[in-house]
Amino acid sequence: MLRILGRRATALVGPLLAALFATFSTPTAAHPMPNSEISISPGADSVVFGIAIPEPELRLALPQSWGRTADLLAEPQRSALTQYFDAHFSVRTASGAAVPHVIQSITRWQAQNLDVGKYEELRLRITVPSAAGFDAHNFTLHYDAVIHQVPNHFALVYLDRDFHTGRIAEDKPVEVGVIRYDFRRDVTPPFEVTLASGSIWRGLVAALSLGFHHVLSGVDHLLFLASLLIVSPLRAIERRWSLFQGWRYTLRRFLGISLAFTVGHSLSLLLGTYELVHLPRMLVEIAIALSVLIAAVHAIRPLFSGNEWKIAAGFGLVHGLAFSETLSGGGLDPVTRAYIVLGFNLGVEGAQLLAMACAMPLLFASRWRAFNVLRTAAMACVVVLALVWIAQRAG
Amino acid sequence: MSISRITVAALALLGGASLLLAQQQPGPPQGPPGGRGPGGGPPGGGPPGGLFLPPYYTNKSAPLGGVDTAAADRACTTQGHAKLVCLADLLKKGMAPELLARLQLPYSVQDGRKWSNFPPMVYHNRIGVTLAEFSPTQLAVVKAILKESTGIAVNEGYDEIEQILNADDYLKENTGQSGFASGNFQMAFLGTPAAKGAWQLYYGGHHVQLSSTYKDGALAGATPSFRGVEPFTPFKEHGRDNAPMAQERDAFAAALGSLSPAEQTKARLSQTFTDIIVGPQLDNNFPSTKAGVRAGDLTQAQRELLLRAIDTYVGDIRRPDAATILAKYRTELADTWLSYSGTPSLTAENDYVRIDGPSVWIEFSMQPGRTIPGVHPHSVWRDRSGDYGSNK
Repeated sequence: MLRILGRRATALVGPLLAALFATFSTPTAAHPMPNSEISISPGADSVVFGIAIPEPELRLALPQSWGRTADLLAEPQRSALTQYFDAHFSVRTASGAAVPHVIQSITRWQAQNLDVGKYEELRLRITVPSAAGFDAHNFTLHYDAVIHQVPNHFALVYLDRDFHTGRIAEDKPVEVGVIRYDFRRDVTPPFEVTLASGSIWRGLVAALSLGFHHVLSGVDHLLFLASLLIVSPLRAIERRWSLFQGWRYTLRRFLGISLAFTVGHSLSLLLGTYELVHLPRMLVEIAIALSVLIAAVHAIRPLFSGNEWKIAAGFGLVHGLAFSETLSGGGLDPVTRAYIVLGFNLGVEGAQLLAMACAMPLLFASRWRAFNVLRTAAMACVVVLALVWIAQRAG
Repeated sequence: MSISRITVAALALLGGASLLLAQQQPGPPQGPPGGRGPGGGPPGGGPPGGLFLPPYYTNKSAPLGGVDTAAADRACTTQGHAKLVCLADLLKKGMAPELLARLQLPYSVQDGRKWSNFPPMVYHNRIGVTLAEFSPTQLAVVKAILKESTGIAVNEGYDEIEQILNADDYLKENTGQSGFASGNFQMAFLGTPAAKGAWQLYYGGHHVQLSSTYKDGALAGATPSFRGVEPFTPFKEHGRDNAPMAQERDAFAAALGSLSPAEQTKARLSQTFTDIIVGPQLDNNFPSTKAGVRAGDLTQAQRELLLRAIDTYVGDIRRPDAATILAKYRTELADTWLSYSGTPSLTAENDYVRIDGPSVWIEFSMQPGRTIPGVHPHSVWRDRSGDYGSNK
């Protein structure tokens, strides 16, 4: 029975990896609001803005009136929309000089709110690239989209990601203020952004520590690796695991599996962080539980002996996607993302090396016959745990 | 002993332990960071979105319609402020210390500002004891207090409050959503009701806020006073017909309808209003310049219609106090402006009307149905200088 399960699981790997690269990024956050929200993610010298606007309110403010069913994201509406935001969004340096911006994307999102239920929301990603005299942590935001026409509407401003102050993970966005119509002066006042600036080192340390703790607290990552490595001293003989095959053999396999896993998760971490690949979170989590299951079954009865490194690399891709989940989602410029991937990966490797260093001496025990029983019992527990995870994550 | 038998034995032995361990695993990680959700409400309106309800919101029904106030009325035979003081003492007498600590608070405008149009699952900062927490005897005194301070005009004052309560039970029955319930509305005294000194009667909940401030035995301010209702269309609940805000809309529509086409054009605001602008936690958010048509430029008949519309809000307090305030607003009527946005019939979403005088401020905003289809109004009566009894 276990073998059938194992074969099926192995057969799943191929299509899964195919699906992995076929699916493209979609945003995943949900902002409850009938108001607008602006998130600010400062990079080294550029800023990424994420703006979420409830579509019904936006329609009231657009200079042209299209029917309710007219798709704002189709032409000619889309061009008009871009013009509208160019007119109602601008960034100036502290000394008042205008800084160019680029509207990178406009997408639609199903939002939900306790008070109004489900509604459509438009999301813009606007970047302000580095420019002379522009300080990504100190500038003025001139924003009055919707508000100029619907003055009871307001925009909450949040600080989202900020590499330089170590805000790189799923930190809750911090509210930094509200852009609200000033009825006394009959204007929407400009919004002064003044943020603590931090440093690259602070960001790198934060990324490293995040990667380190992510692995050490992620039991599933460790169990997957441990289940593959536990058979590194062994050889499959007639569908049974042998005893200890010597240090050279062990070390070669041990390092090969570890390296394959590292290459796999590094690659997909990179792809995921740059949002080139995106899988639904649930699917990734289930695939990880599945990888634990397969590795544990293999450690009981060999399924793919000699090819552990392929499984390590293949599922490494999936584990890397889960790592990237903690990093993606926020608007960060490419350079900052590279720093984060670097720091995070160093942290992941550090934690992995530490865990491996602790586990390595234990493999010496595979010299004794009792090791087989212990290994089988332990791996049986992992199988059960993986099955429970699969059920939990699918449910 | 074959490996599969070892496996079965291990499964049997350790399965349970694994399950326990699995329970402690984080499982699929939580969703990514959503923005905190004030839901259009005030920043700082409570914890992030999600159905968080403090324990005193029991979601029970506590309709006031069938409550008999005869005993409370027999115990306090005076009128006006003296009766309010007597009833407040009666309510507090023998009350459990835990409830009393939330009912009787020190005088504070800061606490007076903690009101909202939102139901409690969206806005969590209200103060006071919920209606469901009062005993039947205490609830009768609460009703007597509301009646004495808000008067007994039909569809105004207490009667309006009772129907807005009924609307919440109607919403609860029709949506099943917890948070809606007449028992979740709250009363508090800010400052001790007494012949001397300042105190505020606080009564609030979804779509209603009564903030009457008294000073040395006299009403010093009856604002901010918020009224809204969903559903807006007449509905049956607790054995009666309810349409608590129909006459407000009718009065505004009559005033706007009396304008000539030229006056209507002048009265029309260029901006769109999807809600009121001097809402909860937006005290003093009044425009510095008045817009629309000036009542001094209108006919006597038009001015009377405007005053009639004002009276649907001033009339939400007991008649002698209302008469004093209305008399003041009448003397300022010439400099009171009327404006609107959307359509003057005030039947469609985003229809909006505003009355802006030297003192009086009333705005009424028709909005899409939130919980059930249709439209529903939000409205507020404020006094440019008299909110919270002119206290800061």
